[in-house]
Amino acid sequence: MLSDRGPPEDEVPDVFVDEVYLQMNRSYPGIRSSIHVRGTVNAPRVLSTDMANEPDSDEEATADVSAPPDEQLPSPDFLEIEPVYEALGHSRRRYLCYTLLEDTEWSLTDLATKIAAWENDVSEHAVTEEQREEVYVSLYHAHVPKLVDEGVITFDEPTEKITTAEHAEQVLTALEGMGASLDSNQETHARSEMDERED
Amino acid sequence: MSEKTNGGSESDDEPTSGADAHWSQVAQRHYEPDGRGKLTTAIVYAIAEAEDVSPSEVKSPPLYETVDVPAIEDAFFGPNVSDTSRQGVGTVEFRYTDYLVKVRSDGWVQVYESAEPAQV
Repeated sequence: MLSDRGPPEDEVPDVFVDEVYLQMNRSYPGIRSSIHVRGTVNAPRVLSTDMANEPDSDEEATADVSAPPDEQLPSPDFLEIEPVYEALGHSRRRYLCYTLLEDTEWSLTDLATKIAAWENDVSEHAVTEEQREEVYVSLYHAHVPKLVDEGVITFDEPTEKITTAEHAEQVLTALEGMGASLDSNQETHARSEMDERED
Repeated sequence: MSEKTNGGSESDDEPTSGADAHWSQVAQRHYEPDGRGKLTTAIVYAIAEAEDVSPSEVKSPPLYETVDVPAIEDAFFGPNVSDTSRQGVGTVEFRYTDYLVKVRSDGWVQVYESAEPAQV
């Protein structure tokens, strides 16, 4: 940050920051966490608003809404968007989430077969035992526990059944928003990067 | 030679972990970094070979709960790691059930078992 050009950080007008926020928030809801990095620009303004209010018990409730003391913490919006990024951050997890659009419950073996078919571009009947096992192992040891951690799915150990969990809806909504459709080009969508979608 | 940390020995033939345990290598597998996150399967396949079972029979616990495999993959085999620097001797070792697993920066995944109990 040793740039000798441009205004110092603290001279960036609030209007500019708000504008950037609005633009980013329009394309990527929940992205405001990145604004928080330079949120010190906004902080004094928010604080002064807060101090202007009399510490009346009635008004305290409304003041809390606009300027909570822990304003630097990630907003609830951000916390809810994180499972989306984590869930879709690997192609096999994207494949897995696509299958959840089709059905909300899967056996691990069926999932492995389906994903292996997509990856190798063959029909499910043509998937070899080796291909299936390789996917199965990576699902069992890496991707399924990751998605369980993120609250996207639950995994029942004895039956090896996968079902959707509390964060599945927002992940699947994001997938659909990226142009997912079950009957065409699933592999293309699953492989494409998230940042390809600009608008 | 230059680095000795945490009981990790440089000698390939007689690796030790801790002062008292004696380990012998029972399986190894070479991992080819392809940027597709296959280190997990490489490790599980090596453990399966050590246990003499098929990889899908290696069950509990999931490797995910044992070690952060993507972190190892990033550190040793990430896109910014050049081939020449991987010729060094970086090693991550961890326990999986009764085994000691080593992941080396040259791509070798090695599984050791304790030589103490007479396991034939």
